[in-house]
Amino acid sequence: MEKSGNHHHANESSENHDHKSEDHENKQHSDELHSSTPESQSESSEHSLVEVMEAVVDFIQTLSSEKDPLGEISPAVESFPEAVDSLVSKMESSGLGRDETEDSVFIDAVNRISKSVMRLRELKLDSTPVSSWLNRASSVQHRAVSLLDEEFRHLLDRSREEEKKNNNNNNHHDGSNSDHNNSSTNDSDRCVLQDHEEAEEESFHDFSPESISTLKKIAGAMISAGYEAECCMSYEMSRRHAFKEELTEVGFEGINVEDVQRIGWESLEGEIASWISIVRRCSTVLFPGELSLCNAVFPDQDHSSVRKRLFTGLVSAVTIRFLDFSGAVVLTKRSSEKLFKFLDMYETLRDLIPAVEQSDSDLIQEIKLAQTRLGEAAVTIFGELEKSIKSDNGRTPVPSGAVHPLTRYTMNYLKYACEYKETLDQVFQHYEANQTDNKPEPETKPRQQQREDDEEYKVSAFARQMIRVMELLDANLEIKSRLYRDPSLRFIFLMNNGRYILQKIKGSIEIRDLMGQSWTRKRSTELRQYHKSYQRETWGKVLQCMNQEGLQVNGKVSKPVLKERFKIFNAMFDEIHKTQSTWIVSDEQMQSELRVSISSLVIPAYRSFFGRYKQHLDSGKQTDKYVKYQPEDIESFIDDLFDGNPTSMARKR
Amino acid sequence: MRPAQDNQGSFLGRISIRRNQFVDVNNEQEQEDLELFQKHIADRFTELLSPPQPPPSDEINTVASVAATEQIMSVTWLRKLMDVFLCCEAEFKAILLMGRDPTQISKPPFDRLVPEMLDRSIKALDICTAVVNGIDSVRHYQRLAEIAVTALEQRPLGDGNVRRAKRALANLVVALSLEDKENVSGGGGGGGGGNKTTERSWSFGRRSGGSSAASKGGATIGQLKSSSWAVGRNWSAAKQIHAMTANLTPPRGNEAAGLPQPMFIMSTVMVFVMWVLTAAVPCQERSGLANHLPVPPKHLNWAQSLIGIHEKIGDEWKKKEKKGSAGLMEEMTRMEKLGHSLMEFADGFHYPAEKDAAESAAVQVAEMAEICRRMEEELVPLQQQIREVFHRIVRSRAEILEVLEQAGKVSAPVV
Repeated sequence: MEKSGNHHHANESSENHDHKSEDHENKQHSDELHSSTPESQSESSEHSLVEVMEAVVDFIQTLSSEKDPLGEISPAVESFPEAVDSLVSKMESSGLGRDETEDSVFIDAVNRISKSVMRLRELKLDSTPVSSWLNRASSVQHRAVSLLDEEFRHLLDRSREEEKKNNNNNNHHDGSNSDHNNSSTNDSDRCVLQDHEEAEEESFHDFSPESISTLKKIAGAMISAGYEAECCMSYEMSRRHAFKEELTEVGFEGINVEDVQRIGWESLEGEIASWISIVRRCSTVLFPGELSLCNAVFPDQDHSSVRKRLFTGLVSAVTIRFLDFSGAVVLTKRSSEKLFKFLDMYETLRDLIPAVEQSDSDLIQEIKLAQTRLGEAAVTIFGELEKSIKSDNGRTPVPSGAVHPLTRYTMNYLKYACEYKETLDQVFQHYEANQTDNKPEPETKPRQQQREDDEEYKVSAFARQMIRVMELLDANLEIKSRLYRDPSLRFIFLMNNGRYILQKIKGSIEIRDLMGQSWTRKRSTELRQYHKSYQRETWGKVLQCMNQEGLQVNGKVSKPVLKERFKIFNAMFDEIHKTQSTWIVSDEQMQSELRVSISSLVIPAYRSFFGRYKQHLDSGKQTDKYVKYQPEDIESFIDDLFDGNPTSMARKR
Repeated sequence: MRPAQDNQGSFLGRISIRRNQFVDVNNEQEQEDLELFQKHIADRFTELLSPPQPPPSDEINTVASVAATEQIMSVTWLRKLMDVFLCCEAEFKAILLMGRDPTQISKPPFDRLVPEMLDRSIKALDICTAVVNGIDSVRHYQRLAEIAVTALEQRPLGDGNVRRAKRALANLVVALSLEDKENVSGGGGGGGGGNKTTERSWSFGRRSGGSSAASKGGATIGQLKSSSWAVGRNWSAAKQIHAMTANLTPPRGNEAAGLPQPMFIMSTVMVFVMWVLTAAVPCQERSGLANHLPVPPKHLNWAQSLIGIHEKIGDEWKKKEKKGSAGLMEEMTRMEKLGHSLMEFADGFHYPAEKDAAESAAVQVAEMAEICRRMEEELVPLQQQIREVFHRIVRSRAEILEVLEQAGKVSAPVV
């Protein structure tokens, strides 16, 4: 019977959706019922509730307007607490959020009883009937608000559980976090989306619009009943729990400082990866989502401080967890392979700041401090690179003049580092600023000037570091090159390494931009210089012996001198071929350039020498003895050079 | 929680003086510094043990409140303790590092003592985190108490108000008397089996009963438990403190006169401070800590007051351990007592309130309100101080490592 009565009421009101006209609506409703005699008890309670509600409005108004209100309760209002009480009983069995109209009636009743209780308290009437009514009313109010509180928690938690279920079904968390990040960055306020279908699809912080609307009503009623503390507590607990689960699910379980020091780098890398993924999710999805949930549940303008406090508390609690982790990671032993992870973390924290700034959290400074620590670690690690270049002073030259491992290591490291060049630039800038904090820097002005004058000169802090590393590397290679006794090999070594460096720089837009064009041009010039020096060193003497000068004695070609010249050439060329075909020029282009330039230098000279003087030896049987090479042979032997193979002459012939 | 900068100024001056002193470091000078250091430690802890008494002429009320504020384990006292720690630490670091030849602290016995000390400091960091979490729980208790205060301050006091207060008090009293295992950070991680059960039974109770005990007592506790953070799976404050005391022995023979002495003192202070913090607030797994802190030998002058404080807290802890306690923070202890007696008042309440009972309850409510106010003022700053301690330990560690690296004793960089 009670149910049917309810339905009747519900149907009527649901036709009329405007909640604000509820009072009016109830009035109409009661007018209709006025004439009929209540037949059953439930109907009578229904009847009286509506009547009483109306009376309560007047009652509250009277209390508010009259300066000296009467010390008694009007009979119409007398039974209001009992009416609300039976409503609470009904709600206890059915629960909120099932029928919007029923909810509204209930919340409305709670609001009215709260209002009358508060008003009566303010009036401090010293009359037994009023006090007794007030006591009953505040009892019922407490019972009703307790129910609201529980429903509030239940709704918050239920949504979370459903969300969890959905996640499990859809396998949202199976390692495709980054994908998910991208797809969901835009719907940060999903929880208030009206589109239910989409909300179900993307069910992270999802609360159905119905849930949101119920939560909102409950929060409003609790706060106006003076139960703000309970309301906030329930909200905070539930959301904290939700966050904790979210963190656990991505595998970020608050690993402590000691464990971070203990586990190996590989495991720590995994932890860092999940840290990065969850912090990014917080920056892009979870924190903004939390903010809009907060705004949706506590939309009232008067509740802005509640909103701010709840959001701030939550953001702080979660963020401090993140900072603890980054603090622990920074404490681990520094080594070069960590640089890039540290920089990833640095960037992640940097991107977290805007999301945290939406709150009143005082953690911004701590985030920045954590960033500074990571930055300092990165600077130190980068400094290790310089140190390791300086300290690499082995006494054995790399065989065959090949690219030194230090060159490879340094350049590859720098190439990766340059992928982080903006971040590294920030890090170094910050670091330098800290270092020179106390002393004024008169240098700044002219430097600025210089930049404007020379647009290719990049004064970024990181570029300066890069140039320093390059200079160190150059200096080190210069020392290493002196380990070669053969000056030609020394130039080949310098060419190889120089070429490797140049290719690496050309191969990465980041480094190229950073180092600037004039720097690259300078390197190219140096390379050409080495090339020329090599040619002079190795082939100068060879060309010398083909010089026509001194061949003619008294206007005649001197056979002994000529023989000697051919012998010298053969010996020199043999020797060069023997040694230099074991040398290595790993860069194919440079290798072929070298061969071509040698060929173009040596072959025409030999061809002309050969063509001109061979005839003088033709008659003798010793021709073969002195003329060992045909010009064509020279060309093919030159092609053997810099191959890294000790090619046997015999095999070639 | 920005690290409070206020404390920096006081010892910066001292450090710079020290720097000058160490310009021409010689044995005599060092000896003098070590003695001064011990004296400072002794002085600071003596002040902590017996705070300056208010003049006897004061009215009884004021005396009580001042005494309560300064009392051992009060939140004000804990904040003082943090200051003391920071001062000791700064002074110690100056002795250890300023003007010292780096190779000196990389030679035996320091090649053993320094790494041990650094290891201890790493362990202290996790305790700091656990304690900051613990203070979060205390702030939760504070809010429960505030609800009770708000409800019981209503006039005329009606059944509804009393019931509201009762609900909050029930949660408060349960939370305050829970042992670690059942308490906030118990299960660790994402909640062990025990955690889940509590949570579930709570959620059933709530939906079915509405006014059943399960819903009243267990509700926020279950929630608090599941929403609080752990320092790590299976992490235990007790184990951590124990591990910190390993290798912590007073230097003997020659070493007792030199640098090993302040190193021992500082480590002892650090372990002690961490022990006090874990005793003060709810902390993850601390069984057996009540009587398990090895104290320095009594004949050491600097240690007298520290031992005195240790004994006081230890006694209190042993008493409390039997019936279970979330923490020994003085405000919490009083809050628990008041909570119980206000519960009694609430249980026996019939409208209209009996005048005498109401009046004595009002006094207790006022005291509770005062505790809440103090917590509101001091808990967050305490948290900030502990985080500052955290950062300080980190920074000192980095500085020591840097010096060691200069000495070339830290293994070469991996390249």
